[in-house]
Amino acid sequence: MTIKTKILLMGAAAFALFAVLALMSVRTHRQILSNLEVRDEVNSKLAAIEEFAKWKNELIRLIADIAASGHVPAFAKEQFNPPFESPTGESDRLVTSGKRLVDLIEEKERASVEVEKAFDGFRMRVNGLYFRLDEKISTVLATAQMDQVQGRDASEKSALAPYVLKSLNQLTLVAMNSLISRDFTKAGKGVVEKNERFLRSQLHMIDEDGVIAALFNELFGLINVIDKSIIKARQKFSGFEGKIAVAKNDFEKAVALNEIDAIVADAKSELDRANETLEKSSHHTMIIVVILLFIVPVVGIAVGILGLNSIIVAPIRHLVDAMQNVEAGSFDVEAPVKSNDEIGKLARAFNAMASEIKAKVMELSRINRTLKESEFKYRTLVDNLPQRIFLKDRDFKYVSCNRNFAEDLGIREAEIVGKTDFDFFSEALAEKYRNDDARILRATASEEIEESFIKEGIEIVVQTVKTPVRDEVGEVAGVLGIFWDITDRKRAEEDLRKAQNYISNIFDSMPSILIGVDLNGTITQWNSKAEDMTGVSAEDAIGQLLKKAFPEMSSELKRVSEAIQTREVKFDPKKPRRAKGQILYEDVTIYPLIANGVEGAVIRIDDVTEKVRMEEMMVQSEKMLSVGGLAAGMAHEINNPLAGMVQTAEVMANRLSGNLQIPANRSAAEAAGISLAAIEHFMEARGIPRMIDTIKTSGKRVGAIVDNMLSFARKSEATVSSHTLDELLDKTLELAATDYDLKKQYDFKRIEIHRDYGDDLPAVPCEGTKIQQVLLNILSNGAQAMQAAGTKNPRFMVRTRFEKGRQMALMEIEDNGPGMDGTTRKRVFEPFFTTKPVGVGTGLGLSVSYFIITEQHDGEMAVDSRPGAGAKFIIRLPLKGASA
Amino acid sequence: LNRKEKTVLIVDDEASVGQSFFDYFEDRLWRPLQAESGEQALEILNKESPHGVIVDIRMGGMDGNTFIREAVLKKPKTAFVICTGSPEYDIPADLLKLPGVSKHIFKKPVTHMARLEESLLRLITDLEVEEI
Repeated sequence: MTIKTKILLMGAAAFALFAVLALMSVRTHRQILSNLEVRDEVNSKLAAIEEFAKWKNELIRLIADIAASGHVPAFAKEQFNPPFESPTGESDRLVTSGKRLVDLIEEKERASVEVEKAFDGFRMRVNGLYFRLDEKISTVLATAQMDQVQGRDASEKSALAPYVLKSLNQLTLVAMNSLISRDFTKAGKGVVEKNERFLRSQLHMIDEDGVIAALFNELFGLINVIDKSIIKARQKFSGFEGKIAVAKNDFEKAVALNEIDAIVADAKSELDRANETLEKSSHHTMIIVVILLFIVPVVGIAVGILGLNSIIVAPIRHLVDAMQNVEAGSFDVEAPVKSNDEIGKLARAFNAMASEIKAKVMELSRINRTLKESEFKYRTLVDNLPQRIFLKDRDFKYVSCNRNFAEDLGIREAEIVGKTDFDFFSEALAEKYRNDDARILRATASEEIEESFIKEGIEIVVQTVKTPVRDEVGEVAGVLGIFWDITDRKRAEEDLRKAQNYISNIFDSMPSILIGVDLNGTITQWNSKAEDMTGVSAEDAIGQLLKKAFPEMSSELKRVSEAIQTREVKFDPKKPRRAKGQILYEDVTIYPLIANGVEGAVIRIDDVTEKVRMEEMMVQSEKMLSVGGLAAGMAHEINNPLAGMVQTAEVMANRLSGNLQIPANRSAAEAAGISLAAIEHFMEARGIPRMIDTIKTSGKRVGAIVDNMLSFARKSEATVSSHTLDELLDKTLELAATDYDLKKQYDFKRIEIHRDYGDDLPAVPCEGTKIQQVLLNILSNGAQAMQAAGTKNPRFMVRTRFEKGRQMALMEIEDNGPGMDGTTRKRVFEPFFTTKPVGVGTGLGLSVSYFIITEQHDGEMAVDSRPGAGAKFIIRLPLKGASA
Repeated sequence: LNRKEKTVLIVDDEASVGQSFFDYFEDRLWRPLQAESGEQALEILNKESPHGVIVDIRMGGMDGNTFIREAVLKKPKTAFVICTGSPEYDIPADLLKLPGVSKHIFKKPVTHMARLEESLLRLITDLEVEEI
């Protein structure tokens, strides 16, 4: 079945559905119309019935009023004719029975009027009789009363008369009541009989003339007539009552016959039935309409959609899905073939096509996979190389590159295609690269180039290998470049070179001799100090054996190999060596080189000759310090007995060898009987003055030694204050000129003094007396030396300077005396070293001076002298004073 | 200047030293007085008014400084020359202010007693001149 047929069938089904719907509507319309007719009919009937009911009700009410009142008003009967035909058909009977009832009531009314007339007559007669009797009896009573007044016996009459009057009243009342109630009761009859008997027996006593009795007779007769008339009227009326009851019954029957409720009910029920029918019909119609107009279309649409879906949409969708799968690359699809229509055919054709494509695609993907694997291997290789790789064509345009290179340029690999160096680098750099490429293309030979490269804005050094690339036919097609970062290597090389330079500089600037040797004793390093000391240049020395270049050190070779073996530093201190006619002391240290497998050692030789000397002196100084300490403690104890001795010797010399002419001498000589001249002679002859002098001189020397030893005490209580060195020098020079001792041995005034004082010399914190002691010591030594040597024009040159850089004050005292030889010069500050004859000096002067300057003032003291060239003492004092 | 008119008091607990001064000054025609302690010297000052005093410092009992302080109260116009065997002695500041105290310390042994005598004489003369 084709889609067209399917759609036509569905259309026909829908048309049939709507036709049924139309027919149902027509039927409903008709039913409504017929229902309307029924309703109109019923309505007109109901109107007639309503009219009739109105008339009937009025009639019934009228008759009921008449029956109740018993009076028939005028023209009442005219209303009895019905205005139209009775719906019941029984209206005649109603009218007839009503008329008869009314007639009877009218007749009874007329009869009642007659009876009333008669009864009124009776009442008039009773009244007449009553008044006449009352008058008579009243007269009797009045006469009796008169008699009594007049004294006549009238008691019987007066006593009986009220009773007669009472009977009269009773009789009249019974008659009147009977007339009114139209009933003569037994009680009434009893009253009549009782009074009749009384009157017949008693009346005669008052009725003299019988008139009263006659009147009573007449009354009794009337009462009898009344009784009879009442019975007769009652009979007559009861006849009427019966007839009226029959007529009333007839009328009520007619009324019942004319009851219209049933008719109305019939009509209503007819209407109800019609309505019910209509309602049912409407309901059905509604249900059908609802079903047809709502449910059916919904169902119809649903069925239609489903139909459409199953017929067209779903197959097409399946087909589309299948196509999309194919589009997405999945060829393993089959569109379902569910019908034989156009879509079915399409699906079948598609399936055939898909299977064809699938076969082709599988073939292709196999080829592709192989290609990809190959590409992947190549890419992995190229991208993972730390080197940067690129390929340019003949026109210097990039063809491809590896990832690292692209990352350096800040792009993706693919973006490089078609770009040139000018796109990435500075003009100059790109130009340089271009020239290299051109050269390689021309020469068709690889080149290794060291060049710069900009990576992330930083210039680095790279090593590049550029190779010409040939195509299939062997033509040069481009340049392949590989390069890598060698910045670190270059930097390391540079650093190494600098380091070597630096080390070599350090090596050369060392004050020590530094010699590197290997395991065989061959020299590997030779610094400038070694060149100086040995006179062998580094060029000549390096590569030679140590024992050839520096024979004095050949004895150390054993220790060198020992040091290397034990990996310990070997130290040989203060090794003496004879060189240039002198004995030098040298510290020899051997440092084994054990790092990085470079076996060997460094020999370090330090000239410590000066240091050794100084150390020796310091040892002496230390010794003297302890002596000083001892002296300080003992000085007082020594000085006192010494004073006793020396001072006594002085007095003795005075008394025995000096001025003998002192008064005490004279008197003592007189007492002894000897002349002073004889004593003097004796003393001279026995050499007493000389002996005393010896005591004095020796005592003085002890005192001087104690004094000098005291100077070695480090502690000094003397206060340090600021002194200008110029002034100190001047004062000392003055003191020297007046010094008792100095004057004694030489004439200081003969010595020429040259002063050369610096202008800017600041005051120096120091102990003035101590410094003076030092200066005096130097001056006296110099003076003595010049005197002893017989210097022709003895001269002192004193200088002061301010050494700003070291913040020290400098004093120089230079003589033009004989000078010193090297040995003396080196020992000049040693304690107890003296060139003077025994007994002249203590050998402590300069030693103490050195101590005062270096130990107590943190200063420096040195001597510069050569034989025949005088001596120069140099003193430096720190401006900040002694630290201790 | 008539030396015979001058009296010198020698205060030293070392008898040999004191004696040597005594002998010297006697020979030089002074009237020497001798005390072996500061206390004894003060006693003497109650009776005597020497022109000059030679004072040792380190003595048993009262030391030389204390003696000078007390002696000055008694005899303000006296000259004092200090002579000590202690190498580290310095004159206390309060004594230095006194015009009668010599600024120069003579160290024992006094090898030139003539200088000491000279100093003492000069000091005495200075005090007398000042007085006039």
